[in-house]
Amino acid sequence: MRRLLPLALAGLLMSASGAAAGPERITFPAGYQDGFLRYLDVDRPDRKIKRIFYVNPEALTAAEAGAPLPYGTVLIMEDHPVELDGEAPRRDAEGRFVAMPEVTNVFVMEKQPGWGAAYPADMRNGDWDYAWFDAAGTLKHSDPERYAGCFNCHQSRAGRDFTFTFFKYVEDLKR
Amino acid sequence: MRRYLVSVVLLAGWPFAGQAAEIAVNMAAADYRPATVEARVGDRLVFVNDDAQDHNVFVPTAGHAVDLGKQAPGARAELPLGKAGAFEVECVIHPDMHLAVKVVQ
Repeated sequence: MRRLLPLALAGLLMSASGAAAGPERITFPAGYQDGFLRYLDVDRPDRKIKRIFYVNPEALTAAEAGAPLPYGTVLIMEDHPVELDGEAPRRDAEGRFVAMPEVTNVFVMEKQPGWGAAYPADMRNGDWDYAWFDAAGTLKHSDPERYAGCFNCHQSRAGRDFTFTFFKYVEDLKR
Repeated sequence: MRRYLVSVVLLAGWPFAGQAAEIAVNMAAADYRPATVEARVGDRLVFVNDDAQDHNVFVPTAGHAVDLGKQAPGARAELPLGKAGAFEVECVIHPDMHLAVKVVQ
């Protein structure tokens, strides 16, 4: 609760961009499945899902290995149920899960100048903010408190500009 | 490395070429042990949380990426190795935990 109160207060503040801190200042990136780069597929056996990760092409072009990711970076984590063989996920010839077409969640993280200023220092994720949409682009939760888990978990990757996958992907590309 | 390979063979009872092995990886003191693993396609990594805190095995390497979810103390989590290649294993909760895995045919 002690961590949630500052977040609730932060939601009332205005960022440098003029929009309220929180998920409502993130615009659903319509058309991302065609216009963004699909850079990673992550199998999640405990939830029987596959998570597909996308990045906007401008961010990929500007990203440098080991450097903070550029402003304007938009990262997407898209959830799909997977095909089952009985109770267990079916695996392809390489042992990977097979995603079904249905999209159950679209999580977006976006980095813009000044966006972190509205959050208290002990939970700030640089200038990133988070939003959780359904497949049609409707925000699932507008209450900033619902996003405390995003901030807390991503803080463990402060050394990678708060990303679990994309910073590492760029580093691996340059090897 | 040789010591770990021997322990893997013993653990799996793997005297015959071509038989899949079960390779144990411990997590005590927020440290993957062994820190490097060489395995064959068809083997399985078995992560044993012998620590006093939760862990969360996560592979961020493209082509091998997987998230095994939160793993409580005492729990085991399995990772089948279905393709050759090299990848890194991290912990979602503890960014300093690293394991390097090489899988050959």
